[in-house]
Amino acid sequence: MSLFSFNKIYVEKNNSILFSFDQLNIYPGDKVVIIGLSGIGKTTLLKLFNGMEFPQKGEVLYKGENIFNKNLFLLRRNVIFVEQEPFLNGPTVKDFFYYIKNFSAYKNFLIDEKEIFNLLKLFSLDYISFDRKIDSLSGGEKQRLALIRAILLKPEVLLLDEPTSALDKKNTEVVINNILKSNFVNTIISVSHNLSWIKNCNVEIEIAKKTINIQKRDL
Amino acid sequence: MNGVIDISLISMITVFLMLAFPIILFIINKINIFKEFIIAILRMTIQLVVIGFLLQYLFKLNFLWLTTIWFLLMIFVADYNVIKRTKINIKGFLFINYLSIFIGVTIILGLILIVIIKPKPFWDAKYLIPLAGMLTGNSMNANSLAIERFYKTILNNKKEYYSYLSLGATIEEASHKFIVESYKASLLPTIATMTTVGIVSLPGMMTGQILGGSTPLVAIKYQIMIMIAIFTVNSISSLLILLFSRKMLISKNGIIIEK
Repeated sequence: MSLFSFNKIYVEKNNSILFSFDQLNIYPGDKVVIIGLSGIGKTTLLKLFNGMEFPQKGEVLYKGENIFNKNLFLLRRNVIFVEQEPFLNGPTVKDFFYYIKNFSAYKNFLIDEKEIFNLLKLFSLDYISFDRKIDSLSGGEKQRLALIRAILLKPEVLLLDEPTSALDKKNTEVVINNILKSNFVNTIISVSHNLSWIKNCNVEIEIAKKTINIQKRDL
Repeated sequence: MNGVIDISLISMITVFLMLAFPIILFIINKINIFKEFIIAILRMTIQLVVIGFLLQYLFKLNFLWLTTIWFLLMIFVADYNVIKRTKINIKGFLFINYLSIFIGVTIILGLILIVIIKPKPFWDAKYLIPLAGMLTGNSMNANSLAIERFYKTILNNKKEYYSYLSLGATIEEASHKFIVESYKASLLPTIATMTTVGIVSLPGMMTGQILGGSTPLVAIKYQIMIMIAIFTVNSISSLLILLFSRKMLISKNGIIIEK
């Protein structure tokens, strides 16, 4: 059964059509990448998955239920979105990881520091200490920290907007290995321009001519 | 109580002649603010003369319905001023702002008149109108500060707000920081005033009462009461306007509605 299904979607921005399509199904375990020219609606399509954007017509189903009929906030806890240039609250790295305790969705969530250290190591960030100031981090470090936190929260789906845009080649491979080739999070839906990232996704959605083309392949 | 010494009309001329000082100073220093200055003096004089006559009648007639209309109108003027000052142009905002000032002022004014001062009747215009005026005016300032700060911070920090939302925070949780910050900003001026009152200057109400023949000990009791009342009204009305504004600014899905 599909995890997400989109039916008869029509999306407009500023009163003109952005894209429309009949059907899109995403299955558990899919690694999806959305591609297309800038300004064509990639991020908008990505945000349809967690209700940060909504279609003017059509419906978005998650596990068979219209996402706007269920608790959208609970959905967002399980379908975590990471922005291209993520906002990291501080002042320190430790505060960043612990901030989620302010949210009722994580009332019973235990933060495992050992797991954080493991993830930091996996993402080549083991030199970053808990008391490091967020303001002193580079864009690439922030991007990876945001990914680490998203993984740590064990969502069912990750929505990633240009997850490697601030990374060099080496760190891009590190992120690909830990996100696309590992099973920290089962289903990944992303927007990317990076060829290596795209190559490691099994579903490619291209937005062009105000609609989408879906290509599936075996990895 | 001995009445205050009246100022004769002739003496009022001397009052206006005092303005010769700023005028000469402006001319010597070539400071060109005559237009603003004259408009301000004229407006102040006309507004106060009109209000003086109106209040004279309101106090003398002392009809409950008339005082009530005055009270509701006063809140409307304050409400309208908030909109003008903050330049927030959202449908329904005039109403929610009215409601939050009205609720805050009415609760505290009722308490003062019915339980604390107890004039007979409790809605005696001589008490109700000046007290309501002070509370409403201060509530107007607090509400302006609160929503100005709230719209500014949440719109400038949308990214932060959405980052919380995209982790699964509720609207209340994701905007909590901005609400707290705005709430504090709205209360700080009153806190600052309370901290220095009596040291730097005597507040207008207390000065007026002493000049009017009250003993300083009576005057300070009124002053303490009014300061606590102002603070309490502000704490109610600015929180209400923040919560109402959040409801209006953010859709039920958590998305900030931008015009």
